[in-house]
Amino acid sequence: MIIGIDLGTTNSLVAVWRDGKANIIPNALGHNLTPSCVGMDDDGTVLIGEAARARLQTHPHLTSALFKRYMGSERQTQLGKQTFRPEELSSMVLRSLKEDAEAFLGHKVSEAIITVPAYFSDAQRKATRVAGQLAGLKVERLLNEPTAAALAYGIQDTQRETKFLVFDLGGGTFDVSILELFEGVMEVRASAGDNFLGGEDFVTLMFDTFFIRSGLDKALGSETLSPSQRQRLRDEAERVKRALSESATAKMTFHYNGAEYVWELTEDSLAQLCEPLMQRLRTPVERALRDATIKASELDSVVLAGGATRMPLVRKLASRMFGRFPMIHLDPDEAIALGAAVQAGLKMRDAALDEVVMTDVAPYSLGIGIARQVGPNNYEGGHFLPIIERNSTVPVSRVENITTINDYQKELMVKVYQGEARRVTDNIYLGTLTFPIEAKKAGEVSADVRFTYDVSGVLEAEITVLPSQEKHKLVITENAGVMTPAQVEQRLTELSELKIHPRDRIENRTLVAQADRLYEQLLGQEREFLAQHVAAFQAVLDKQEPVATRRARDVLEQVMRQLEGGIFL
Amino acid sequence: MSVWTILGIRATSDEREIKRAYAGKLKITRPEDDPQAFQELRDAYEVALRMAKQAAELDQEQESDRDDQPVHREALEQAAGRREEVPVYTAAYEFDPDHNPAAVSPSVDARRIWGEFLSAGEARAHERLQEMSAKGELLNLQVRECFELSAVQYTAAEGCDHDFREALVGYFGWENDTSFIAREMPDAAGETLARMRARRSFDHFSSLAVTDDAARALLAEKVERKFTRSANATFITRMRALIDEMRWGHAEMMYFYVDQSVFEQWEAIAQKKRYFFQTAVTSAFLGFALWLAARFVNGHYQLGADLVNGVPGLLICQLACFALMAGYAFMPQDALAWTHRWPHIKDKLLQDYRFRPSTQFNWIGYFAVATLCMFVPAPPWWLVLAVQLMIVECALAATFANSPFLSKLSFVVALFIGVFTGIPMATGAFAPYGAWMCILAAFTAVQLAYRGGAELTEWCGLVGKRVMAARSAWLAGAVGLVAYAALAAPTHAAFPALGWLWLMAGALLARPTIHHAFAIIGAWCLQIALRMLAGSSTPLWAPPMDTLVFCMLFIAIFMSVNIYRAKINQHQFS
Repeated sequence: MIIGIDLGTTNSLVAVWRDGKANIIPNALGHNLTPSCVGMDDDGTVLIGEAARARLQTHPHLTSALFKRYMGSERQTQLGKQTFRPEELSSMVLRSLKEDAEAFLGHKVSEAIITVPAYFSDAQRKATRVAGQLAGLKVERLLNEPTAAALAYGIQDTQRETKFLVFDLGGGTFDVSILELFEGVMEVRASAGDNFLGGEDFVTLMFDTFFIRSGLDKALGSETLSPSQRQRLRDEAERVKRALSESATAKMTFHYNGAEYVWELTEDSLAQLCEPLMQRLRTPVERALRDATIKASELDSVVLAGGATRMPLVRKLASRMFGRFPMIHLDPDEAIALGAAVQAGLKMRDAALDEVVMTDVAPYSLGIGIARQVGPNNYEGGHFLPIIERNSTVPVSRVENITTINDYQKELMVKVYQGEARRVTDNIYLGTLTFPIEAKKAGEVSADVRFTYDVSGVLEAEITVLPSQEKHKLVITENAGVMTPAQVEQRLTELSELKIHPRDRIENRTLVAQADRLYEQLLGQEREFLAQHVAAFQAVLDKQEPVATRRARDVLEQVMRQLEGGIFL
Repeated sequence: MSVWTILGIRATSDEREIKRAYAGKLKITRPEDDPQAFQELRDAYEVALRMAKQAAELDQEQESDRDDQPVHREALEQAAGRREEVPVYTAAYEFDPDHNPAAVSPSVDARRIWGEFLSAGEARAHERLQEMSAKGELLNLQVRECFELSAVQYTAAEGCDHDFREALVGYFGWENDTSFIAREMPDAAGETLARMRARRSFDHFSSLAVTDDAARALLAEKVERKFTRSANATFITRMRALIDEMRWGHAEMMYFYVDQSVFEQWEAIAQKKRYFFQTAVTSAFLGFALWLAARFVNGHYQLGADLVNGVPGLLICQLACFALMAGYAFMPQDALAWTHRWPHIKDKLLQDYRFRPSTQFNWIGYFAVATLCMFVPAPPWWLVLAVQLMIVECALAATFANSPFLSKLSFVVALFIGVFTGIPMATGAFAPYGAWMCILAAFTAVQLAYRGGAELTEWCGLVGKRVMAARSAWLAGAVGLVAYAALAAPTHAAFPALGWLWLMAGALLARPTIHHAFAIIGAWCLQIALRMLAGSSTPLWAPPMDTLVFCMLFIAIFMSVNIYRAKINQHQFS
């Protein structure tokens, strides 16, 4: 059985193709969304999901979130005594999702399809694969997120002929894909995106602006907020962002040193504030349309995916840009995971999907650095020669011929880059291949550079020197952001020694963590009231009686809901 | 295989049929299962679609030709007219379903916005575009596309203001991504971008022209020929560079801004071979230097060619240099092509030729002959000249052969020793050869000693026990020579020559495996001891025997170390 996983910046989901349709698998708490948060409990066990998210505020040094943004980099996160790479933190989330799937399906799961933002680079994709490996999953394929969302929509009626655009604004990434559906073929025509634009950026913007608007910056002077206070303010910004989806005005409040700081927001003021972010949303849309050689008027519909498209601001922008209402039949949070499950079904050759084929594209150009002639006997190095043009349908294999420019050149050095800029310095460097060639006059030695890009976005470069027919293959290993197989092997054993909080007790642990968070936010009598209830709940927990525990949990949940007034998820 | 065979249909311009065929084939060759077959199918599909599209366009063109309509006349109106037939624009602009302004067609809206934009004139285009986008007027993608098409048509015209064009190009990012306008209005898009680039290049070269005479001349309306220009090498070199730069990188400017006849005339001037006045000055200097050199040679060797000293000599030298420089100036380009091979020749010389035995060892024999000739008493001038030439050659050859084996410090030390022994030599018997030659000879000899003869003896087949035998013979001979010199005090000139030959043989039978400084100090101490033993009145301490004895002791120290270590290390030269 292959499961489909949406490994998101803020939330992750797991889904499976069963009985001819895609089903979301709930986690141990019964929620569909599992926050992509990992933390260390006080006793050294690992907490994943909602419990870790609650502890983000109470124990900021022991908890980590938003690590997807650092995938493919060397950044280390310290949790307690141990440090983790982003792919390791992601692997823990994946492991928790895998356990949920196993509990739901009742048997072992070892294969998965994981979604990545379409605009993820080579290193980021490799890191995602490693994360799967570390979680004990064989990653069957990496699926682009907007493609997954499109699959979830397209699968509802595969025999239609239509062209549509997927507008996928997640927690941390933004992707646009244009799809054409005909004769059971789901063809991605073009993808474009921004790897550092998502719902979290709106929260960060509100967080930063709050200081000035509420006068908190003057009160703070040269002091700064503690990490736990920062997280509380961030949570407040997140709450207000959600509140503005439902009402036209909202109040953002924060208590500091006994004083209350307030910033009243309206939909319009938020729109004005977010104008620069809105500008950034438009560029990928235009680019995707242009690459797909489709005019805006030829699109039949626009599909929204990703949790951040719940914001009225974003919906309004989309409807104004396209001059029509976007489609939101599916829950935007779940569309991608559902699509991943559809792809899993396709992969397993499910009978219900027999007449469906999906083709995807390479979202960025891949090429090499070359020297171009700029005059007689005058060459200028550092130019980019794209070999696979962006938005070519994958799998794709293309070849370009290059020749030497220096007399009696003894070596040929081929540097591989990814990107769209004319000069290689502005593109992303992937690797180098150097090999000796026969020393001859300039232009007498030439080589064929063949790039092959497979459905999962893995690049292979092969160079054939023409006179000798010698073949050289490029293995990109020197990339610092990607772990080597030896490192993976080593970390696999190290990580398996970590104790993970038992799945059957996570519900109680989460509730306590959430109560701790609420306790920090409350004041005076309410605080005392909550403390008493938590103490009572813990006393019941120690007795280890299932029925009594459930009853106590219900009581505490009710109390918390009353105190909190609706933040509680 | 043709694309139609791969798709399994007959050639058609029906897009739908192509798509159906592709879809059918795709279900058999799935991309994840057989990438290669998929690639083939995909390429065929893309080519077929392109062909179908071209065919459709051709049909359309023929139709419009029949109607006798210019294709791009008021394309905006045409586009608007065609689009309004399709009722897809009725959707509200706002997401709020209650707020539904009168549904306006995007193309009509775009025309209105463009009209307003243009009516305000061409000034401040950039700011006004920013204002418009702040108001969200160009948010709708269809409005934006129509607006863009109107804009590209306008900017393609010659009369459009440059800054206005730049503002629009920058705002829509046409420079980075031409795909949309190039697809919809290829002619206008090309014209706009070409005019923009041409103007940018023109601005660049105009700013150069303020200080650069060559750039000014190229952009001028007519060719101003001046002697100070066409005969000035700096000007012509700059001109050639500018011509290349313009031809290769600024074709658009050449078309729109540069007078072709002026450019071609300058090109002809610049390409012509000529004798610049810089060349003349160089030639005069060279002629003068040649004359001075000739005078010196004539005076030094007393060749008696008095013609050289006067004005005729100077004239001849000047003429020779003039001929040389003129020949160089008018030489065809291809004649110097061989110099491109120089890096290759250098590599071959340094890596291949240098390590051949002939390069490594031949100079030693040559050096022996040259130095032995130096011992001839009262040499005639031709012998002096020949020996001098040989020594210079030997010094060069030895340095070339030894440089990979000896450290830089060794060469410096060798040069020092060369100076300190060469100058006393030049004051004595070797005076005819001059101090410089004596220094060079000593320098080469020290290199020989430092390098030792390990490789040479092996190459000659002198290995194993034979080395020991040769060394014993050499040591015995050395003792004999010294004893003979001390007792018989020979005065014949051949005796020092024999001593020198013996010394060189010794150097080749040893290899310095201890530091030279120890050997020098050791030889010095031994010499003092010998002097105390034999008394200071023997002929041993008169030149040239004192130097010979010292050198033999020096070599003997190396050799005894070799002999001692040979037993331990099983290697004769360790």
